[in-house]
Amino acid sequence: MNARRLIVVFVLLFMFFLAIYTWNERTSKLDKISTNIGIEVVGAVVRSVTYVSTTVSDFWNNYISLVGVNEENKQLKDELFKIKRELASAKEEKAELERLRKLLSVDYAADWKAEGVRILTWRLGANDFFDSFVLSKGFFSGSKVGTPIVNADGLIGRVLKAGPYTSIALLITDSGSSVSVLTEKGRVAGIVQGNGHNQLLSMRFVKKNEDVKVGELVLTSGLDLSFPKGIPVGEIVSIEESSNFMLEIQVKPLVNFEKLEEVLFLQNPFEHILPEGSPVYSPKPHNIFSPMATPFLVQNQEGDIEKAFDEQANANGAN
Amino acid sequence: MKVLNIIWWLIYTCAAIFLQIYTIGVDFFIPGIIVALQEKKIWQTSIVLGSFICIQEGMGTMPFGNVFLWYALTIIFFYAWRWFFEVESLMFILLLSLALSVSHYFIVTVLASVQDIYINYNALRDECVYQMLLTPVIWHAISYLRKGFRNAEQD
Repeated sequence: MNARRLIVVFVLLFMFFLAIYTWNERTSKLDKISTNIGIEVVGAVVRSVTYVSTTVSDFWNNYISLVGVNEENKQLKDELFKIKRELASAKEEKAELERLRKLLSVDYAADWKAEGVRILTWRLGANDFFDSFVLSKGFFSGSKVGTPIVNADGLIGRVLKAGPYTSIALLITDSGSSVSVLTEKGRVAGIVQGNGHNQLLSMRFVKKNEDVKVGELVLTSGLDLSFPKGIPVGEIVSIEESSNFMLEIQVKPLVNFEKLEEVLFLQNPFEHILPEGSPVYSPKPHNIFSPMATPFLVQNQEGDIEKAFDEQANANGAN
Repeated sequence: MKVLNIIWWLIYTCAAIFLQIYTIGVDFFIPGIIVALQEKKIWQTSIVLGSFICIQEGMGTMPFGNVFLWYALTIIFFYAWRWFFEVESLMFILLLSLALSVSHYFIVTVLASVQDIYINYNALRDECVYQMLLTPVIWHAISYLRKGFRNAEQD
C-alpha cells in the first residue's frame, strides 16, 4: 500500500466513522446492536468459565488429589473430606441465605417490583471508563436502562446498558452519576453526585442556612421518579461552607461496594407513563434551585447556578 | 475460514475476554487484530475485526465509536509502519504498540470531551502504559501459537 492510497483509506475510514457516529448519536442503533452482542458474549464467557473452573476444581478435589493412598485411609479421608465440604458448603449456603434474607428485608415502595441478581464481574475492557459492574440478568428479566439497583444497605446505582440476559450497572460513586436526595431529619433537598471509585459522594445545591448535620442519613427523594423514595444513599461525614451561597457536603455511601455479590433490581411502576427517563449518565447536575423538579423537565447547567448566585452577590454588594 | 480456524479464533476471543476481567483497561483483542493483519487474509481480518468491535463496544460503557476509531487506526498504523520495518520484527511491534497506546489516550480524551463524559486521566494514562507494555508480549505469544496451529493444520 503506497502513501497516497493509505491517506485515501484514512480519509475514507474517518468519514465513515463520522457518518456512523452521527447516525448513532441520533438513533443509538449501533449502541443497541453492540450492547446486545457484546454484553451477551461477555456474560456467556464469564458464566462458562466460572462453570468449567468450578467443575474442574471439584473433579480435582474429589478424585485426582486422593490417588495414591490406601483404601481404608482413602475411605476415611473421603468421608472427612465430604463432611468438610458439606460443612463448607453449608457455611457458604448459610452466608448466602443470610445475604438473601437481608436482601428480602429491603424496604422499598410496594408498587416497585424487586428482582434478585448476581454480579458477574466488575469493570472490564479498554472501553469501560465508568465505575461499573456486569450483572447476570438483562431485559428479559425486567432490567432496563435506568432501573435502580439496591441492596439491604442502600442504593448502589442504576442500569446503564441492558442486553437480553446481561446488564451493566453504573454505580452511584461514578462521576457521571447523580441522585435527587433528601436528608433524613431536616428534609433538606439536594443532589448527590459521585466522585469516582472509592471516593466520598458530594451533596450539592444545599444553601448555607439549611438544617443539615454531620451523621445525618441521606435518602432518595423519589421526586424524579427514577428511584423509589426513602432508599438510604449515605451518611453525611463533613459539611463545609464554600465561597458561594452553597454548602460543600461530603457523603459516605452506606454500601460496601467491595463486598457485593447479589443485588436487587427495582422495576419502576411509572415507566409506562413517563415520556422519557432521565439519563443514567449525567456529568452535570440537572436542576438549579429546586432538586424537587424532575430532571427531564429542568435541564439547567451547573455553570448557570454559580453565575446566578454571583450576579445576586454582586447586586447585593452594589446595593 | 476453515472450521479449525474458526474454533481457534473463538478460543482466542474467549481467552481475551477472560483476561480482560483480570487486567482492567487493557485490550487483548488488539494483538489478535495485528496477527490477523499479518496473515493478509482479507475475509478473516474483516470478520475478526467486526466481531471484536461489536464485543468491545458492547462490553464498554462509552457510546459507540471509540473502539471503531481505535481499531481503524490500528490498520492505518500497521500499513504505515510496514514501510519502515518487517512486520514480524520486534521493532515493528514495539512502535506499533506505542502508537496504539498514544492514539488510545487521544481518542478517549477527545470523545470523552465531545460526549461530556468525565474520565480519570491518571487511570487512563496508566492503562495506556500497560497496553503498550503488554501488547508486544501477547502478540508474541499469539504469533507463536498461531504458527504452531498453522503447521498442525498443514500436516
